[in-house]
Amino acid sequence: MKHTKSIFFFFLLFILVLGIASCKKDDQKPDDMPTHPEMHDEELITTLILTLEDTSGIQPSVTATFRDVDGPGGLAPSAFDSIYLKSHTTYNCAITLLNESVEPAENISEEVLEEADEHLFCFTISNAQLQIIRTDSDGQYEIGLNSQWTVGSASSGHVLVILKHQPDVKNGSCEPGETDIELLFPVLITD
Amino acid sequence: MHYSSLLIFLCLQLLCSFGLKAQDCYYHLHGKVAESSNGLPISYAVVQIKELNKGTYTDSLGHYHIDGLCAGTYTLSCMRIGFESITQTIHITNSDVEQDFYMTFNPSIFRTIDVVEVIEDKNVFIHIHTEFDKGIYTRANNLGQALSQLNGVTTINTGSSISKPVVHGLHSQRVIILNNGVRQEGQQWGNEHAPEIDPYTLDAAQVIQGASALQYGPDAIGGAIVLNPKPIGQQKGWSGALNLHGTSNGRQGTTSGYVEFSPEKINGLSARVQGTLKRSGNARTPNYFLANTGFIERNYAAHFQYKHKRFDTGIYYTQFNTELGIFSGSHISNVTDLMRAIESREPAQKANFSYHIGYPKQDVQHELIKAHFNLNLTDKNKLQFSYARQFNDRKEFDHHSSSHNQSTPELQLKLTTHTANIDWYKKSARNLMHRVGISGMHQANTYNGRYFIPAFYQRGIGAYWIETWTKNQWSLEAGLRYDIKTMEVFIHENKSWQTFNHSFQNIAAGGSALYKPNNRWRFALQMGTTWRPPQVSELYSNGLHHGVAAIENGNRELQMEKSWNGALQAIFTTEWIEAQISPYLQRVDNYILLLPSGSPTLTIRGAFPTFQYSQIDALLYGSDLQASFRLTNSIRTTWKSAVLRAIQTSTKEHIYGMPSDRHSLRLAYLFHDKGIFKQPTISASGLYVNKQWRVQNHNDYMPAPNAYWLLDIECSSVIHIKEQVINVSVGVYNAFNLRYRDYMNRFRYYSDELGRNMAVHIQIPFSQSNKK
Repeated sequence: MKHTKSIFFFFLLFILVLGIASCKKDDQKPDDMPTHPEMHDEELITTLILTLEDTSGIQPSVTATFRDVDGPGGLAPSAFDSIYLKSHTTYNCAITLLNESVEPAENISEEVLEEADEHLFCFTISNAQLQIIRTDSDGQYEIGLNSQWTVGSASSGHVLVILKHQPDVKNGSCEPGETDIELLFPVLITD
Repeated sequence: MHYSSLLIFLCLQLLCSFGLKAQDCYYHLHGKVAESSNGLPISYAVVQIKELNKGTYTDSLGHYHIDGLCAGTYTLSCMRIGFESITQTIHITNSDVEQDFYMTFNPSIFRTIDVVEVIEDKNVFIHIHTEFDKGIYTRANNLGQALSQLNGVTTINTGSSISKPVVHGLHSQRVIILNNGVRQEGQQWGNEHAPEIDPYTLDAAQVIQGASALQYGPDAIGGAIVLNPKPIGQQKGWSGALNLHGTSNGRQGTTSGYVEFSPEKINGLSARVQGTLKRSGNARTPNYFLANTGFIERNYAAHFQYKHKRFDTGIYYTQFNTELGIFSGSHISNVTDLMRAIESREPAQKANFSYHIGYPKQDVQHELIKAHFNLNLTDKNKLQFSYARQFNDRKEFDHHSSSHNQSTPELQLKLTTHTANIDWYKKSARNLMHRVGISGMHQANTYNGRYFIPAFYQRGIGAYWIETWTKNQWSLEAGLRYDIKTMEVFIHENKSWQTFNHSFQNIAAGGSALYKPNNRWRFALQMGTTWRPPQVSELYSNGLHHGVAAIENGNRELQMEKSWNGALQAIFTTEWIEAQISPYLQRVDNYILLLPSGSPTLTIRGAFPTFQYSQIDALLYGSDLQASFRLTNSIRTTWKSAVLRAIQTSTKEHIYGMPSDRHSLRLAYLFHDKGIFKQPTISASGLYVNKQWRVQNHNDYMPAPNAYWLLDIECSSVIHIKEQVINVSVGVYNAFNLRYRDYMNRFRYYSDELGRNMAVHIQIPFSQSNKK
């Protein structure tokens, strides 16, 4: 037992080192989680608002909203409007994107504008007598936050609004990149 | 991290101070064990030095080595089931000693040694067993792949770097993984959460089913995978090994080594430090690189042990750190993107080789510290105490755009688990072995960022009792276990924190029988019932699962899963053939799985198919088959097959996500020793994986991938340069660079599996005794 001392020393040092290595790591307990869970899902877009103004200022302006405040899953979207348009009218359309899961709501369309060279809105029309052209630009390619909607005769159909995130791959077409938004709005055109 | 470097530094310092006391105990004893009648090598014979209580097994070629012997006279014994034992006195004076044994076959012998075998191998029904030899490290990149060398074990993969073991179709929460006797507690619910264990710390793996598995928990529905670290304190003085590993695919480099020290003068004291560094870049399929598939792994382990005649105690510490990129092409935002990815056959995002790890990625740390104290009341009566703490810190980063804060993960989960066990073993005179124990567990989980699973406490307490009776050709085992598990879950709902409580308790039981009518046959039968409470993730997960474009909803009404299982094992062994067939049948009531829940969920990214955790009655059955033939003294062949069927009993539909049938054939040629090259071997293995025909196509976006077959070629040799031994193996995997996809890879929608990969593995063991 003459080595008891060295064994003890060895053992103690080992425990000490391990103690240092492993302490202070589980200080957060489930029952004292922050009062409101932190959400830093920066990509979250909860709300899209289409605002359409008659270029000639005759027809009343039109808005259509999609809103899903808790993001994908959970509660169903609280708003998903149809777009009601007047025939033979030309509208200027502005898109507003919001993150309303945080307070105050974050304006995502500003972020999209800041990263204009990475984003592109695409519009696909089915059945409705409608033409849409993008009217803004990142300097090289269009963006689509602003667009001009030329309405034809009375009809009904759909417009598919897509926001593509195209970092380093934006080439003016809708093909590359990831889909941040894909919403199919019903369109109703009346005289 | 810097604490760990400090730790290693301190330990090395410490070891150095002991190292000065080295003595003249560096002699080497080696030799060969062969059959006296025909000279064929005998593997797994035990060669033991009685005075030192030190022993080893012979390898597949009948060779054994014992290092670190002092000069003196020793009694050497050599034993093997079915052979007459040999005792021999040897004298070590001033040189290494070679001692060969020629054993005589005697079928009546097995009875006396049988008892020894059962005591050594206290689990009667070991389904499968593998040694972590150098070959496994050449082939396998991670623990999952290493375990898939076991027949009946496959993997479920997320890309090329994340693999989880699947035992008879079951994985994740249904398989208990024990690392050095401690139940691995990570975020096991996720298919993309691989077990955080460094295979280089391990020596052997077993899959245990039946009554013995009850010792580890009630919920080993698929089985318990028992991972044993390399035993420590096998030789006096310094020893260790350095492993170097490189692959062509991913240009991966691994360095792993350990240094161990047992001072000459203090019997029973030993310490070891171990470390692994691994880095890999983008992996390559036959036609293209996979963007962002590199990873870095840094693992450390330290082991301290003191063994006394009456007690032994020790501390074991491991830290596993990984930072791994998730294939960029798998990050899809909605169903349209997924369909486009499937149709395009090749990922849209092109990549070159790079070691850079971008986003999305995972950053995981797992830490384990275990302390044990075993009291040997008598030789046949042992009381063991152990305590372990695990800390799992998982950070998941999404695909970022450049302007966002990149240091904050979108999801961070911290899981702290404390476990404590008291086990008592007693061998009584009437051929009985008793095992009784209790175990307790306390677990806390918190999250930051995106909600996927809630914060919770989980507590459990259980007690087991296992009896083993062994006499003549028979071994019988019966076990009983009772557990109580509670959960306290914290959910932020309706703008405030709500607490939900769940409690589950039940009995698990099992029995096994082993019958060895003669030395050629061995039959084992196992039957049992186990249960598993639903996991917090199954009860409360909620949200969009990136990568599979699906919304998964938990179900708070889930009941516990109950399994009734039976398995049979027949093994036939002669000098030329070793064949094994193991059919199994398992009925799982309230089997929890994700089922489509009718209407899709509308989101800003379009409509997503929605799945909800549901319960069905499941029936799983199948068989593993394995046969090894020694065609000549130098040609060996091994055939393995694994077949599994899984059906929902009410509808007779096949259950989603089960591995398809697979068959493999390996042919090995053993050359004669040539110069410095000892035991040179070349082998070719063909693996055939059938298409998973048994699927319900309406549940999947893409039909199951086609059948494929792969050819692997491996060469290995032991190189003796003077006293130094170096193990070298070289392998070519997917030698024909075939393009294929695997049903069990969740990225099968996006990319092919890896193309040809060449790997080199060098292992350099060292010890004080062979450095004169």
